[in-house]
Formats: sequence, structure tokens, C-alpha cells
Amino acid sequence: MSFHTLAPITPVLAHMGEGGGSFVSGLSHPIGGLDHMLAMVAVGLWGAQLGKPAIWVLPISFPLVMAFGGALGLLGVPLPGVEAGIALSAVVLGLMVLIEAEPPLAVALTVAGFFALFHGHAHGVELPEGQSGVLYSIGFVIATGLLHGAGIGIGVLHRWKAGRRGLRAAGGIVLLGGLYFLAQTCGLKV
Amino acid sequence: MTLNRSPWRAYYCMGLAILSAILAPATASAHLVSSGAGPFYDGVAHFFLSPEDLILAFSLALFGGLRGRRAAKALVLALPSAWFGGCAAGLYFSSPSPPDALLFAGIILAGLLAAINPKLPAAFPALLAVILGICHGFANGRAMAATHTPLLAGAGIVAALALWVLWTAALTVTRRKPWQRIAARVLGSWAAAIGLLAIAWQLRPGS
Repeated sequence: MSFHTLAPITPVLAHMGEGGGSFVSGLSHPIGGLDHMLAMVAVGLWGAQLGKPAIWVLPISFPLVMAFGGALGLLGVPLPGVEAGIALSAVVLGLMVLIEAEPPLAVALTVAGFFALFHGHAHGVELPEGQSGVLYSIGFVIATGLLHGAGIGIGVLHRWKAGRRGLRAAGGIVLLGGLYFLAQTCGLKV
Repeated sequence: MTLNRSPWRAYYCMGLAILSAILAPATASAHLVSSGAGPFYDGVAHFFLSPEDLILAFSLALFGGLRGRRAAKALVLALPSAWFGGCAAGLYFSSPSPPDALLFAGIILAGLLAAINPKLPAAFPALLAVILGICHGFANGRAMAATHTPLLAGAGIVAALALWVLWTAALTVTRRKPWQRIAARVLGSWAAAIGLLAIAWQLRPGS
């Protein structure tokens, strides 16, 4: 394939390795923290439980709101209680999956979007210097989307009775994880 | 049609193209890549190694493809033509390139339109493609102005762009299953999110 051959024949530029490095850095950032991962997967699980149209509206809207939060972080706009918000997102989203909550779509979107802001802001603030912004952003958004996709993929289990129980149990695990991180954020020893 | 029979192969090739662009050691869209294979192929390489150009064309093609066959056909003709016009203008006028933030704003707009998929006239994607194509083409033209055979390199860029847009739009138009159209819209939202982060990166304090 010609694209394969095109890629390695460009050794002439000054920033060797920066492109791939930024992309991999962006790709690994959302999966670097367990609190982030739990919430992202929970969004997918909840979307799968809610069914259409939430199963696709949530994955469309979440990255956008998260990117907005990331933009606020990059621009230096402060957002109070970011770490607590991230931990709380795992608690709330885990709870939603555990009790198989079925609120109206607008409410589900508001809940997910509200927490997406915190996740995005944290990533925006932590974005390392000296990286390529575009490539970092590509990696970051792809990783987030793939985590949602993983949640939705696991959510296929919702078709079966035992699978529904399994999903609720997964929600319970996310909830417990969220509580652990929330306790850590509040300075409690767990 | 081959595209209908082997969609996965086409998706695989598209994924490879994007991944090659991302992982390649090139960064500078401001300078023409030297492929060693002549100016035309320098232009081809430049397009495929410029993520912002690739993503803009990708989101516009998604939008056009989602709006139907007529919209996609118009877009496939309009975008490369406008891009080439912009390239030529960039070569002959010495005014500065449009700011990167403006180029990223175009990606946000195209990505959002693909994600929302609003019921707009079939000519709208082509109209948007003309405006954004001229801006990106102009930036490419300014970057090529210092080279010896800029028109040939410009032709390479536009040929690569035309293939990329044709491929993406054809894949989108021919996908009929609901989940496939939803996947196209999800990709549009990803493009908009990338544009949003990239624009904030450009505008961040101290940049």
C-alpha cells in the first residue's frame, strides 16, 4: 500500500519523532488514569442499557463536551473541584448502571455532559508542553471514543438476562471505584 | 460495486492512511515534504502527512456523504477545485496565510455538521467546501511558494485530496445500515472535538 511507503520516506524535518510521540501521548492519556477509564466505560455501559437513541447520542456528545472542557483547561479557565468531579462521575455513572436508571434522554445527556467537562478540563490542564497539539488531540479523542466503544461493546450483554445482571455488577464495581477515588480526593485513608 | 462488496478492506485502507499520517515523523504542514520522488509526489506526501488537511477533507466528505448522492457529487467536484484555486492564489499573492485557528474552526464546523447531519440543501456541503477549500489551499500555496515547481506540487496535493474525498464520500454514501451512518456521525463528532482541542492549543496562553 502506498501509504505505508510514504510514511517512512520523510526524514527531512526538524522534529523527528514528535508526530508519533504526540499521538501516542494523546492516546495514552485517557487510559492512564483508572478514574478516567471507569467513567468512560460506564458512559458506554449506560448508553447500552438505555438503548436507542442514547446508545449513539452519548458517544457523539461526550467527546464534544469533553473537548470543550479540555479547551477551557488549555485556555487556563479555572474549574473548581475537578478531581472530586472526576471521582464523583464514576460514582454517579456507576450508580446509574447499577440501578439501570432510565431517565429521559435530556437528563442522561446533561448528567454525562456535566461530568465530561471535568474529565476534559483535567486533560487540558495536564497536556504536556512541547507536543504537537493536533496529533495529541487526535490520539486523545480516539482513545476516549474507543473507551466508550468498549463500554458499548460490553453492553451487548444487555440482551441476555444473565448479561443484564453482569452489567449491573459492573456498574457496582465502577461505583465502588468512584467511592475509593472520592475518598482519596477528600483526604480519607482507605 | 467493489466498495459495497468489501467495505472492511476500504475501511482498513483508510485507517492505514490516517495512521501513517499520524505516526510519520513529519510535523510541519508549513513546509513541503521532500519525498525524493519529485514535486508531484512531494505534494501527495504533503497532503497525507498534514493531519489538519486530512481531517478537514474527511469531515467535509462525511457531511456530504451523509447528505446524499447529489450533495456528495457536488462536494467531490467543488473541494479539489476550490483547493487548487486557493493554492494558485497562495502562490501568486504574498498576503499572509490564514491563521491556524481559522483553519481549525473550519474543522469544528465541518465535524459538527457531520455529527448533527442537519437537513440542509444539497448544495450546502459544496458551498462550505469552496470556502474552506480556498482557505486551506491558500495556506498550502503559501507554503509551496518557495519551491521550484510549486504548480506540480500543488497538483499532487489536489490529486491526493480528490482521491481522499472521493473515497470517503463514496464509502459514506453507500453505507445504508443505520449503525454505519451513526458511525459516520460519531467520526464527525470526533473531528469536531479534535478541532476544538487544536484551536484551544493554538490560543492557549504562552503559545
